[in-house]
Amino acid sequence: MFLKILKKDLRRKKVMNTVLLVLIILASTLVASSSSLMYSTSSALTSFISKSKVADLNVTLANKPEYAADIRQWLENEKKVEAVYTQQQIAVQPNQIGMPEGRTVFSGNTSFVLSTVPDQVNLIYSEDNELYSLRQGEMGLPVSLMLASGVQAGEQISLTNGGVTRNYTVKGYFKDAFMGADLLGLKRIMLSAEDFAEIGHSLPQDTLMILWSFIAAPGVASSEVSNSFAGADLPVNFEVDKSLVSMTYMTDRIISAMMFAISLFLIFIAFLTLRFTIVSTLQDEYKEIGVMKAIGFQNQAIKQLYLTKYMGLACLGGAAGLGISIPLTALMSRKTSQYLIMPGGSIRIIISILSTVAIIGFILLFCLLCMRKINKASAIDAIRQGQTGERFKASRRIHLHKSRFLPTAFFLALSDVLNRLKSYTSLILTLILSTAIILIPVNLTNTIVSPAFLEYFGTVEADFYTATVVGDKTTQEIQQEKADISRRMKEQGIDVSLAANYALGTKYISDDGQENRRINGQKNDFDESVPFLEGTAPILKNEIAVTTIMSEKYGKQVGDNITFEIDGVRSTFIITGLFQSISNEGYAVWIARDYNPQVIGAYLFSGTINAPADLKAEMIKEIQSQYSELNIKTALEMLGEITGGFMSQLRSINALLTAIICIITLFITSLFVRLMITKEVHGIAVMKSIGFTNSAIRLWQVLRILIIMAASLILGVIAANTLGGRLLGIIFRIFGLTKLELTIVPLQVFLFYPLLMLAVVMLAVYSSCGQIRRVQIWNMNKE
Amino acid sequence: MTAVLEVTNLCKTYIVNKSQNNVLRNINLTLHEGEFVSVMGPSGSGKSTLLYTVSGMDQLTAGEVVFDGQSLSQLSEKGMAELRLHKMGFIFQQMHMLSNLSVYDNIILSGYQALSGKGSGRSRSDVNQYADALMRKLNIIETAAHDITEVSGGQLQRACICRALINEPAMLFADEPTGALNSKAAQEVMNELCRINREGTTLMIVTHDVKVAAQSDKVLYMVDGNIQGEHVLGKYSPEQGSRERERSLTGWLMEMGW
Repeated sequence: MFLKILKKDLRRKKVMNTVLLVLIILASTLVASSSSLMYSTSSALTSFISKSKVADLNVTLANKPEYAADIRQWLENEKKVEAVYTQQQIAVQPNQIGMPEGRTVFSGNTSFVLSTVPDQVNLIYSEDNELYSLRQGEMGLPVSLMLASGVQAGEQISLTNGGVTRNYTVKGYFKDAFMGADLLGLKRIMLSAEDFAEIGHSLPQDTLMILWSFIAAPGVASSEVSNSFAGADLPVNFEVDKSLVSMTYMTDRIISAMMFAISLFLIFIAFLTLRFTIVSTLQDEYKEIGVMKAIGFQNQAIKQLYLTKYMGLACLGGAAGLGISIPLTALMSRKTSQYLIMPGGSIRIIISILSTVAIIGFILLFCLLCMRKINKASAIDAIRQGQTGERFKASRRIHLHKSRFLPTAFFLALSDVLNRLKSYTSLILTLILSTAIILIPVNLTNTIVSPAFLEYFGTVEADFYTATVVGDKTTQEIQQEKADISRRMKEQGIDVSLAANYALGTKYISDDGQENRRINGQKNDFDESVPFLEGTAPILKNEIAVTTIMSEKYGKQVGDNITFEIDGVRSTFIITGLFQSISNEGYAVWIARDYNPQVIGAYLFSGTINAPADLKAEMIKEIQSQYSELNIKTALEMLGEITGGFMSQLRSINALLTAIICIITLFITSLFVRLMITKEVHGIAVMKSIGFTNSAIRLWQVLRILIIMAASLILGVIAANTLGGRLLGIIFRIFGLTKLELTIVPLQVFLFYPLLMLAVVMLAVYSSCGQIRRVQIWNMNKE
Repeated sequence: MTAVLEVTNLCKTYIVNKSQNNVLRNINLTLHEGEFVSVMGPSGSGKSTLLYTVSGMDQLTAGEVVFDGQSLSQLSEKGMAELRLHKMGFIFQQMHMLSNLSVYDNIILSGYQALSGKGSGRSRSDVNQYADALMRKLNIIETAAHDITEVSGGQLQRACICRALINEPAMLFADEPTGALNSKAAQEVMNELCRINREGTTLMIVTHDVKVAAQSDKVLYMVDGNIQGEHVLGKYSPEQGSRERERSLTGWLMEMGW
């Protein structure tokens, strides 16, 4: 008999069961995929860093004998370092690299160094995960450069050094754990030892750089080595420790974490739907359940009947989801596997299987929870259909006879929503979550692509920027260069306010002198440069602004004194302001305009065009073509280069997410409306009997969902802009931002996406309202 | 007198498991304006089906039903709804009220809906006043604010009558309107129905109660989907009493095999 009842249920509730099955499949697919992806990304990173023998601390210094001697001296007394390796490097600018025809030139915001293939530390691997090697005349490029430029293996790239141009054949790309991450703005270009030596000999020896790689002694953390090295007071060009290398791959982790969050959302929706279907099935069969109990069925036996059905659905959906997740995981990890060596073995599959089993288990547990109502159903409930006539509070919130102007259809819709709010919980929660889940990544994307986001990288807002120039120069030299460019532009009738943005090395010294840390310093020709969360920009020479992260870490507030070492000179500064920065885990300082350091490590010029806004785009194009040697970029182009592939990944996820959410919303709303109509056949028939037309009844249904939709949209938008902001704030704090200001594009957040959701919901309602026409008046006697 | 309802060769057949069940067989009848007709007969004879079919609540299999000069089978869904809203009232045996609304809102709902049509000439407050008056007459005014699950079957039946009368229909169909009521309440309902009939509303009711049927102008007796006969009682007036009419009707019913 159980089988008979089960068959009847599956036949009668085809739509409901299908939607539930689809949701379980979707949820299990995404959970299995994302958990496997999270595991593989995370373990791949650890194993790849370990396999590549990334040194605990890597520093680059100019090739000067006195620096080498200082390091040797430091090493003699330092027991924390077990081994040290060196490798020569040559810095190259993008304009020294000649690309094959039709290929994109390398970004001016990335720094490049020529190197030979390492054989002891910071190893690199071919796309087949074998140790990389080069022959004379060949050049090796990291995968990020190959993808960004479109260069293919076998093509020719030229390098110009000391006035001599040499051609090299590009070999297949290499995977670089040390400098391969998108977020790292320094990339290695590999040459054979012979070719490297040829270039090296042609250049003055002091223009070469040495990469020093230190391996920590057993039990010593890489941060201890970097702290100790910072005390050696050496003019470092570039420094990165092992933990920072791991940190640069954060974007890959964010993507897999986002996928996991989406799967959790889907599971939540699946559970809501499950609850809705179980509760509505139980309501429909309240009478039968009461009768079954009256004739002696035990609660357990009745529950088993329903549990069998949901177990079947969960197992079927879970198995299908697991099957789909295998190719999906491979697809999603394709980009990561180009950068990293993915772990082999069956653990990924086992994790996927375990995740699916967990989902099935949770579904069954949830079913049991929802079926507690069966224990309560008694014979009298069966007779009275759950209505006992008892009431402990006023059940009507609005009355038709008290409303003077409300049209009847609108009144019925409003009355339904207000009086039976609990019945709509599943739909309301789904719609709120759907709206929020679509809008949070939209806000994230808009925040990141907004030119104001550049300020978090220490770059002031301007109309255009020149490429960053790396190399030790004095302030006077840079000012002279700026004056030359300004003069040329003025002669050509281009009215531009040009400012130099400087990056220099500083070292924080703790009050007791025991602790120190290298921190990037920035300064700009203007006083007001980046927005300050507290205080103002430094003006006097003894003033400085620090980041909020530093303020928290070192316990320093505006007005406090702080010691820094710049150009080898220790000075005490007064903190005038707190700002935030996304580079170097949030550690940065802003130096007063009047402070003139001897050596500037890197600089760029930013320009603000003094012309009406609508003319600026055209003028930038003109400047870009006339000053091609400066490699001029707009703010958006700068951002694109800094954030690299992360932006396109984020956009793809947004599109995928919007599509998934729209499909789910369509499914759920359609299921909901159909179920409601099925439950309201009696009411619809009664309405028809007293003279309501099909269109008036449809209007009531549409208005009801519209009211729910409007409320859910408002709550969803508020949640996305407030709670979403906090959630993103937590993520961005890892990168150094303590107060993330979301960039909310009103047209998208308040109009486009709500209208899209509304259109999807209306489509679902209209496509499901066809049932109304099929309801006949005599159906009301079929109870 | 003008014919309000003309039924010609009406047939209604249900097909259950490929076998035909002819519930109504070639029914012919005419109801004139202001007439009060009762339909009686044993259970399963097709009385309720006849009522549902001639009122357009159910579809007919063959024949024709003309209401107020309009053939029901020719009417669009919208036309049929208009007819139910403005010209017909229906009192169901099982009441069939909307569970989401209070008793009062159930009554006025179709009154308000009718206002959205053209030229109704009434306002919402007119509808409210009329509903109040009807509820007072049927002694259910105290149930106005209640949920439909909080009132007795008899009170609900009377609320159903109020709802059917709210738009002052030209014709009222009632399926066992006093079935759930005690004799006193039943008489109150009948008094109200007779009053509106005297005011010109045509009435067709299905009943098992001789006392109820005795107050109608004509009684039809149905057996196996056919009208076996009709008994004309003439216009009833409360002053003359119904005892004689009941006796006459009972005698006729006995002859018909009641």
